[in-house]
Amino acid sequence: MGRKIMMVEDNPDHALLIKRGIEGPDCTVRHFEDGLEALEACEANQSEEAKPDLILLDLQLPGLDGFSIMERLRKIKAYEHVPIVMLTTSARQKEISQAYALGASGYVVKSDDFQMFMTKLKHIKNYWFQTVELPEKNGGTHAS
Amino acid sequence: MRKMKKAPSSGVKEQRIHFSILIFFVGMLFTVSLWDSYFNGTRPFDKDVASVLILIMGTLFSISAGLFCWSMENRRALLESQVEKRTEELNVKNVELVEKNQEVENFIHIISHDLKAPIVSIQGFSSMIKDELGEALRGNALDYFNRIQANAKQMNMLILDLLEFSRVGRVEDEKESVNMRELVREIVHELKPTIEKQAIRVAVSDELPVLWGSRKRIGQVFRNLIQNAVKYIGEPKEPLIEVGGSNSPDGSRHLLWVKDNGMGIKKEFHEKVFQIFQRAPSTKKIEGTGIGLSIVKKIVEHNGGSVLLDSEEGHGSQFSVLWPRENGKQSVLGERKLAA
Repeated sequence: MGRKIMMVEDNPDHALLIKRGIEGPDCTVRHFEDGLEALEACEANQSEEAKPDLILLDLQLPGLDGFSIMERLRKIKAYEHVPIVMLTTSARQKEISQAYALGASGYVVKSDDFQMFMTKLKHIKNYWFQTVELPEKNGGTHAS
Repeated sequence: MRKMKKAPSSGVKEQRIHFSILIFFVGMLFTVSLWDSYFNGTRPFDKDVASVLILIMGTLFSISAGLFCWSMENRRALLESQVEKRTEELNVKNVELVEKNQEVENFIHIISHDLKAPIVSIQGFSSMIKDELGEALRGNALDYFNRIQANAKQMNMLILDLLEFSRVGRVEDEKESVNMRELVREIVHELKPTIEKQAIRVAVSDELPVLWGSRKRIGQVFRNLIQNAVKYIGEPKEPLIEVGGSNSPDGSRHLLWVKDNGMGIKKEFHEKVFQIFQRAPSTKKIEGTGIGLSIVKKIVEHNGGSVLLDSEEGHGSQFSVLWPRENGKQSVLGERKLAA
């Protein structure tokens, strides 16, 4: 069975680009434009079948921002160790620190060279898919 | 906010002081005339009247002295309350300024995010089209695509550089002792691929000082200067970049320079290259935003230093940075001279 990626991204263009860039035979991407909607979906169904293997979470979202969503996701028992990689157009040091402090597994800046951005995402995906073999395995290791 | 002491207005106080001084002088006048008449033997009053008069004088003295002290005390209280009020006002203004600064920072951050987002899409979709078309994309179409991507990249660089430019001086960075020998070596190491590609020899002096300032900002200054030297080296026979340092002639500041034997800058553009978005016409074909040297100047001058340029077209350039010593006297901001 392929792996599941949950992507929370309000910009439909970025969502399409990321989806096209990383989706393949090894994984499917479920996209949420709205953070709260994504959170509710996670809270509603915490079964192993529904739980994603990797979450790509945009930081700047209307309404609930990425930090708040991550904070709430980490409080759901089943989502304590799911790797969450933050996506953002900003590279402010305090935000990067805050992301890791709240339990992010990685942080990727979107505004870098696009090819570089996609390469990083693919590496992160491969890293987590190789590392996270069991759902309960510790997700604290950081992807670079 | 602390409750302030209620103090009478300054006009009322002035009146009190004048009144007490008046009573004092009237008392003095009576006393002197009384003494005078007794010493001269005139004795216009009998003993009882004199005693009553002395009692009145004494009372007047006491009242005037009391009034005077009271007025002075009130005056001190008024001055204190005024100082307290001004301090309070300054503190409020200071908090307001910090809040405004934070607002500007957040505003710029949001703007930059909103500006960057479409660029990511442009870069992304154009490179996807390029991938999908593959060999079919050729000739003019390929050229147009490359131009779209180059422009998106340029726009991205502009936003990043503008953000940095706006942050210098507005966002205070932590200061520390920065070992310039290490920092310059790090920068040269970062630029190694380009330096090697262009077969440039880079000579870094062992005499570089330790500067006091933000490592990030000082790094920006020398990264920009060394990057510029690499970018505008042109095609001399033996491309050479030198980074050196010493004391300023009066010993009050550190002097560091980045020198190259590249294409140089015409005298008429020496002032302009430090202005934002201004680039020498001969460099137009070379990738750049025209913000780098403005950032250099802004950082150096914000730290009380100055930037000097010595260059001639075709004969290389030397950018010198005068950086104040840790406890040295700060130079006049905005000073910039052309090195002899």
